[in-house]
Amino acid sequence: MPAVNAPPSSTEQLLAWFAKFPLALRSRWYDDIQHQLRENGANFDRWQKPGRKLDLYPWLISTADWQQVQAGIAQRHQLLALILQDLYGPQQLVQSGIIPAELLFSNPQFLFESAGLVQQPEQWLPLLATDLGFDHHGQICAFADSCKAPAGLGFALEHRLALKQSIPELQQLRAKAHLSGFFRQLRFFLQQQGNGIAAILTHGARDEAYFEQAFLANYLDLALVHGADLMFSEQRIWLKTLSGLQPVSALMRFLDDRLTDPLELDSEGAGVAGLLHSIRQQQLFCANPPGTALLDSGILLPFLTAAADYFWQQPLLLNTVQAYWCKEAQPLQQVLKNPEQFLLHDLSAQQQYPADNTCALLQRPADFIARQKLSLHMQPCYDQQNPTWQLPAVLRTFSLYQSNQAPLLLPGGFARLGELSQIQLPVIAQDGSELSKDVWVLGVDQPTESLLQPSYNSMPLSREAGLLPSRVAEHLFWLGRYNERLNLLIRALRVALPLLHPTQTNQTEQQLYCFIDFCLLANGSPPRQANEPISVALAQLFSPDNPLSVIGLLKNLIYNAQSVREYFSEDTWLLLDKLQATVYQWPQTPDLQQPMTIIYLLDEMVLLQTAIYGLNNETMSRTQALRFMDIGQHLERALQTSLLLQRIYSQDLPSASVMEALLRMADTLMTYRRRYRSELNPMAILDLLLLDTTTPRSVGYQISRLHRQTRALPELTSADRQHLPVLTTELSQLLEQVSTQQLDANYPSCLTLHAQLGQLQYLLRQLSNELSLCYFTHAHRSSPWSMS
Amino acid sequence: MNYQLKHLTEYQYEHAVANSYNLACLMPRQLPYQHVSQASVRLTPDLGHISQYQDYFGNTRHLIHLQPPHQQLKVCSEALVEVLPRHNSALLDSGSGVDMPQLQHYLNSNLSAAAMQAKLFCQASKLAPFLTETAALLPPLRAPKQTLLQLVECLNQYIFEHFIYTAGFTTVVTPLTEVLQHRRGVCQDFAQLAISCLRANGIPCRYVSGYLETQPPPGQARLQGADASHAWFAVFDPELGWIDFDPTNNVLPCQQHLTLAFGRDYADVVPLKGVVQGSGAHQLQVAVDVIPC
Repeated sequence: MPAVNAPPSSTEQLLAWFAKFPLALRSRWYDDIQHQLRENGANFDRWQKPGRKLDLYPWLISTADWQQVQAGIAQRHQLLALILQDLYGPQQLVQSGIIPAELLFSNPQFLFESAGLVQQPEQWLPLLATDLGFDHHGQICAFADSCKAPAGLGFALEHRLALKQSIPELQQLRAKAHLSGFFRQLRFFLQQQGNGIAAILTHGARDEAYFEQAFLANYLDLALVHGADLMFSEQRIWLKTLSGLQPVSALMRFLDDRLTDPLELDSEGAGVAGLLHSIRQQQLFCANPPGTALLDSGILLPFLTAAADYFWQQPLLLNTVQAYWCKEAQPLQQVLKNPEQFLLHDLSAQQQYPADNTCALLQRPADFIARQKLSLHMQPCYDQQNPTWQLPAVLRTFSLYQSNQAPLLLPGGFARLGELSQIQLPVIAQDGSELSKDVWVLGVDQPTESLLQPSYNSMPLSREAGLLPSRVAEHLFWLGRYNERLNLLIRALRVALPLLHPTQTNQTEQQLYCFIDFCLLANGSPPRQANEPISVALAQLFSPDNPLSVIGLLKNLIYNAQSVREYFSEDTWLLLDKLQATVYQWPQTPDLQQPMTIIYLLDEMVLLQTAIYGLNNETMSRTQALRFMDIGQHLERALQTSLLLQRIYSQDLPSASVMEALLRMADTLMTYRRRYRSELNPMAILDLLLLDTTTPRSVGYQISRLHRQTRALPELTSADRQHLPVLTTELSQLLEQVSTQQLDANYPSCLTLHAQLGQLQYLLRQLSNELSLCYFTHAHRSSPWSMS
Repeated sequence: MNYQLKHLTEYQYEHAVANSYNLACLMPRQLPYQHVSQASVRLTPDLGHISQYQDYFGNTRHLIHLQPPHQQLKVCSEALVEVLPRHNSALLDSGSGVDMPQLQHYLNSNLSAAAMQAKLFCQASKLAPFLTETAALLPPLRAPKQTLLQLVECLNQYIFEHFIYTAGFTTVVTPLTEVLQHRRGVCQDFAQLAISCLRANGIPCRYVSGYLETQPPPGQARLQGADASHAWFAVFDPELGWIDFDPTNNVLPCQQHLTLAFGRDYADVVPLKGVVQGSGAHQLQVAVDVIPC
């Protein structure tokens, strides 16, 4: 009979070691560790607090126990891989009646689309996570397998590092196996799959799982990519980057099976069209391929012993949990009689829960797998008040299956301690009631640093500007555009609102309507009808429900910022938070009798935005990333200023009050006064805001800046960017044609000016599209891809 | 019978799209009673990439990728199809094949690949779920000494007589409950209705997509693109194999039915489905010609 985890002496030794230190120090260690965990999480999402707590005491597992686990998991991993290969291939297990056809074919996790995707068993299951329970007699039992996203792999590592950092002296207590060898093997394994990039495919949502994926990507030095970063072409998957398309050879997948390929699987999925086909064409190695989540569903649990017997005529080396398909009468009765002893897999709802409520089970028994709830050995846990506190524990192991090798087991794992049923179910409790432990495999003195020292080419995605993903650049570009658009809208409202009278209208006011019209048009709303009262237009601009309102615009801005949050400094986030907070102070309808409330709010927003510009210039070190934001900002400013001037210089010459408002809005009243004293001349203003290349708010300045900035963009391996300089040159030439002197003579019939301002906007939109084609979608018309 | 088959699908996008991906199920199947030659799938504009593979059900699929920005995409599938007579009516009349108890015995005891396939087609699927209402259609049609085929034939006739073919009444996502409630639908609804009913009663049943040769009105010439996709179902008889039934026309498909693909329901054999990069609406037009030659 194997020992109960570590021999009692080990655990006693551990507790004795801790007891040597004063209570206050132990308490500080504990707080340090929790703080460390929170800090790690905060690097990726400062609003996300990990629900996990890490215990002060590591879980010690004896060499003898671990050898048993190692052999058992290796066999189980090989068996599960063989089963997957069979079920997605010849289906002998079904034909021979070992796995019921009904159970397999009606399971939503069995993907018909994945049939025959890969050929070898180890390709079906490169990575496996298995949950183990240890009972009071030292028996070890596997009770669940997880293949789609081996959650906890990153946590296992994080916990080891956190404990090491907080209590360095503890490390000397016992010799234990190192984790790094396994991770090195994993990285080498993924990087040797081809000449392309190896990446982690994340689901992209901001949750704790995302943190773990980002943590792993950092540690393994793999690119962290979203579905939108990838595209399929010529039978393979490519990463869209600012320097063109880079081939992807291997993906470690953390995205639900059905969401991986919107073409063949769920069309609303976040993955990439063609993913399945690139695997089918052997151009992409995927760990694990879509379809493996069949194991997670639990339908194989009742048949593992029979399958091992079928393939090898051998028993399982590691106990597997007693599990039954409830369609059969006898096990159903057993579960109904003692529901507290079972946990259920609801196959159609794809959930697991305790068997307390047998209602659904009675209605549709064929939809359930029941497995025995294990009674678990308790582990001592640190508690300031209660020195003998202990909790039931389970261990998630991780193994890697490479061809021609036995599966390799991570010497450690992710431990879960908490309520007996809860920790045997896959979802980690979010109420903070669960605890984890660093897991030590004892007695392995030599570090398992891999003997293999691979010479891989590391490709740090986010450190080299050339490998900046296109998606990131696109978000930054739009962030620049939306930020500037919001800025101009707010400035226009700020000058116009105080001058508008809510009920009476006079001629001066009507002249100012052009600013409100500008606000509508600038964000894509249709223009105001000729006789429409101004209050209707204002209501549109202020309504929180209208996607084209000021708030809608702010939400777009925040969305783009949040999508690339790792590119901003903490201080920038503070500003963005504050900017976002203004959403909640926003009035439903502006009170025009008391415009100052809203003016203050608008003032604050302008200040915050200006600060964001400043900070980003200070702190964003990735120059190409910043360049896209800068291009977005100045392209938008040129576009909207042209639009504004087009509205103002439409029919008649602008009145003095409109001209003053315009200068005030463009923040150029001072500049104008310095140059022209007090005389407001429409042509002088036009010169200042359109042609003068030294005023940072003029169209001319923006265009020369765009010309310079677009030239400095990275060369592309795969697309033609010749249209960019052509467009910026065309823009400069167009401006040169506009001559104010000539206009002055012909005014008020300034149709030419009107047309030229229209043409400017048209060319700027083209420039935006062209940038998008070259750098974001990589679909340039004259650019057939070549394999590199 | 020999046919020249042409199936043209045309997408018109509101804005130019870059990188459109389409998955086609447009290649007629090679079958003992159907010979296919000169089959092709072509694109306009001809700038795309086509890759071919076989799906789980043995249908030939084409994965189509068009990279450059485009506002229009045409996918044209063509083939010469020879359809041979099947004599299934004679099997029906002569009382060939198994009866229901024999079928159940076969499904419970047989361990062949064919039996496994049959069991696969006994399971509910997304568009042909098990419903009490559809299941209830079959028992009243049962009679003593009835073969499986005769029972299915009764259902085929029942659907034809009690449901009204109404083009445009349903869409590809209309659930069966609505078809039942209004007693209206199109060929694909009727096929899925029969499938839902038969599977709920333990009878293996699959969806067949294809085409039907139509005759122009007397005295008029055939109009181009006048034909359409069609759908029906097949049941599995352990002795006779898969036998087709067409509830829309109350016939046993023979030489006027051209078989395209098999699946659990429409979702498995959508002729052309796609995803694009870019936003905006699109319009879709389909023109099918089944020309005897």
